[in-house]
Amino acid sequence: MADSVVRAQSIRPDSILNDVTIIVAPNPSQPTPTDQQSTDTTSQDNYGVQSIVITDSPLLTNADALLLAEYLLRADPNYWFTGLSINMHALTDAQRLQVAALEIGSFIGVTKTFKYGTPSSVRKNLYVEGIEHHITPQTHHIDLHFSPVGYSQPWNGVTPTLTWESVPAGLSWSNLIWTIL
Amino acid sequence: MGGLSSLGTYMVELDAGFYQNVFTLDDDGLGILDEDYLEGSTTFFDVTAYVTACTIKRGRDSQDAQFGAATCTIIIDDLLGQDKFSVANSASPYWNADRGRLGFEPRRQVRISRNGEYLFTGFIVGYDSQFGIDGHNIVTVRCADAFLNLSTTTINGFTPPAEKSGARVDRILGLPEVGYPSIPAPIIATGVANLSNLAIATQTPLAYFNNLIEEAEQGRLYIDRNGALNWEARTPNSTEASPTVLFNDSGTAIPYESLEVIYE
Repeated sequence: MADSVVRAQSIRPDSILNDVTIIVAPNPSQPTPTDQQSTDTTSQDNYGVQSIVITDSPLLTNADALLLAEYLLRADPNYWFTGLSINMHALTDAQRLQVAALEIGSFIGVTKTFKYGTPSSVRKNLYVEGIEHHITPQTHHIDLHFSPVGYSQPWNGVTPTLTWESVPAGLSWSNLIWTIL
Repeated sequence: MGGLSSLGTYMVELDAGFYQNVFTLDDDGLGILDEDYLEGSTTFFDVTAYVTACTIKRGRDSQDAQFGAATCTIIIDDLLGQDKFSVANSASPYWNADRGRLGFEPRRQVRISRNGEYLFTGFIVGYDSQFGIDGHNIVTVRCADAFLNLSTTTINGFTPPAEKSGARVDRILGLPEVGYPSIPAPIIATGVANLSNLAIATQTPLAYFNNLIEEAEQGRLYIDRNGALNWEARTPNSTEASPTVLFNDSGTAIPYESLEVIYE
């Protein structure tokens, strides 16, 4: 399954990226493309410049490139649940049915409780990226691998009825734009 | 895998390339009306009773990883099978007499299910035997899903029109040199990315699709549990949707054994 294409540097969507540049390959719709850059200077001040450049993107226009650059921007560090393990023996029949029906791309919620500190529980909504089954004559264990729902998790206050006037402090324009889109 | 019976009905099926239960006149075993079929019922054999372990890996570990073929490894104890799985046993019920070899050849189909729901569908890519001195001949059946078709074919360079990523994926799959199977039908999302009409260089479809994911769509490409290719659009950066499948460690949702967390 080796990929013969030489790649740009790897993008970790859950890592800080505060300077993203996308340049489309020249094409009839965009014969002289320009760099499309999305930056977050506050993040750069806090964590240093962390940049990525994608050149010769197969996207059509500068506008498409800018959209992707804004999508990839990650201003702040965050924590994510990257995976969990399930023992099918510990589940009810109904729960087994739900788990067995999970597919790559499924949207799920995971809550972790904490004995000490605040808050006492944290809930993350995640997408399933990978599924592993380990089956023997006695057991069936399942490992799930996740990706986060973008970066909107810290801003649970963003709702469809939110107005520009009521944007809470700390909410970046790019996240709000994505929410509206 | 009878010990799994408390969890459901598990089944490991291998395609031997010839029909079983073919009605045979005057045959004690194959001449039973309402039980045997004129042209046979299926080419799949249920080998669950001989399986000692099965591992399936589908998708990717994280959002930044590239998609590749799902893999499945099936371990068979052929002492239980009484050498039915031996590549040299012409008396095996899995022996394909027309071809003069064991029916479980590379590229034969494999399907693994629980309560009738597939956990994996794919193809044999390797069939390895290890003869133990204690009589436990262990057969390891290595399998991959239909992603194989994306890495074993090559796109001849051509110039597509400007189009959405979903249309591009559909176009590539339909190229005669790719000839991606139409059954089960691929499930292709429209996509978010508008793609240019630049010429596409000669390369494998898998290499091209991974490039589209990384540098344009940021979506997903995988073969689902039923064997259909799926192309999914960029995951939204924000959503108001609420998941319906919930896990927790407090006993009010699906329990998990361990949870991994990263912070970066």
